[in-house]
Amino acid sequence: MKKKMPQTPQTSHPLRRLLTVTGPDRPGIIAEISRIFAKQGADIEDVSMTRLEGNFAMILLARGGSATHLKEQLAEAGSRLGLFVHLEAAVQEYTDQEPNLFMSASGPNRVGIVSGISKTLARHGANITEMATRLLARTEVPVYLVRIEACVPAEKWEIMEKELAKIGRDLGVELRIEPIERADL
Amino acid sequence: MSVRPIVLYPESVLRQKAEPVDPSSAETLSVLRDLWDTLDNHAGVGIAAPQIGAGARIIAIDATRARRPVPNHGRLALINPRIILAEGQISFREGCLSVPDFVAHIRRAERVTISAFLPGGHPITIETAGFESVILQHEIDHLDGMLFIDRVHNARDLKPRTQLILN
Repeated sequence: MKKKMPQTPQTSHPLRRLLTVTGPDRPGIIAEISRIFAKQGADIEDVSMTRLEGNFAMILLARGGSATHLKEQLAEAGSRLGLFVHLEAAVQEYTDQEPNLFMSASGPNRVGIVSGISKTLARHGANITEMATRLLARTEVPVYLVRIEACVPAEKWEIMEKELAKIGRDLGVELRIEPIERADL
Repeated sequence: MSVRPIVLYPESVLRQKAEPVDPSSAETLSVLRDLWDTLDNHAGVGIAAPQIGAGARIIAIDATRARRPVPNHGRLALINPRIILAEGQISFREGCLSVPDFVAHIRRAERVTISAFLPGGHPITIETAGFESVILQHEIDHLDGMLFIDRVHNARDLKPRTQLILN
């Protein structure tokens, strides 16, 4: 007999939960985690997974399923696979922010680059919506690259641009910002 | 005037290859009128016939509606358009009236040469670059059943969009 798969919940609005999984990377982590959610009838809505130099890192947003059963089975899987696993209630209501600023910074690696840039953005109420950094270690001197997308209040753009230019000079990094424009086609 | 509803993904017409049409037939001109009416009712800069449910190789674009002025050919209706030359590379954040949830940076040719027919049947060749080139490539993709999300190679490049601005 064909096994019946749990259906995607559509009529009710069960709670969304946020799962964090980190630890040494190995094949099969996502297969095991997603199997548990499917078995509990929980709908995986959004996943962001990456590897940071051999470290597996994933945040996963899922809706539905029993919190008790999910926690039990995820804890068991975490222990078996040697991973940190944490399930918590997610933000239930939110408003998406579409970034309007792209920033790239690059320069000789030093402590404080991310801090200096992000502090300036935060002071002007800019919200970072995405960030990725890379350390280029095989160059003559180690070079740090930062890519940021942020949502910046329009009235803060000019003053923030000046302050970022100063921060860039102080940190010895080349800093470039540009507006993100989007067209509906 | 006939504003048609925008067909949303995953409607099958968006995945079908649109058929070449007679540039001077009454049916073609009727679809084209509806395309303009529908585009003018939205904040988009281009539209393709499959987006209003017609499997015909017709597009309507208007790069004059860009947020910042760009070189352009004005309001342009093209029938059976073909890209005959594509050069260079440009990246632009695209949204699509038929995929309202996401936007993404898409890499496309910076300059294109398009051969097509104008309404009525006059053949035309257009060379353009930059934003107008992006619009044309996006709309011609629609005629081949292709969406901008198909050109996203990294899932993280798909960004949720805040809102679809309607007139």
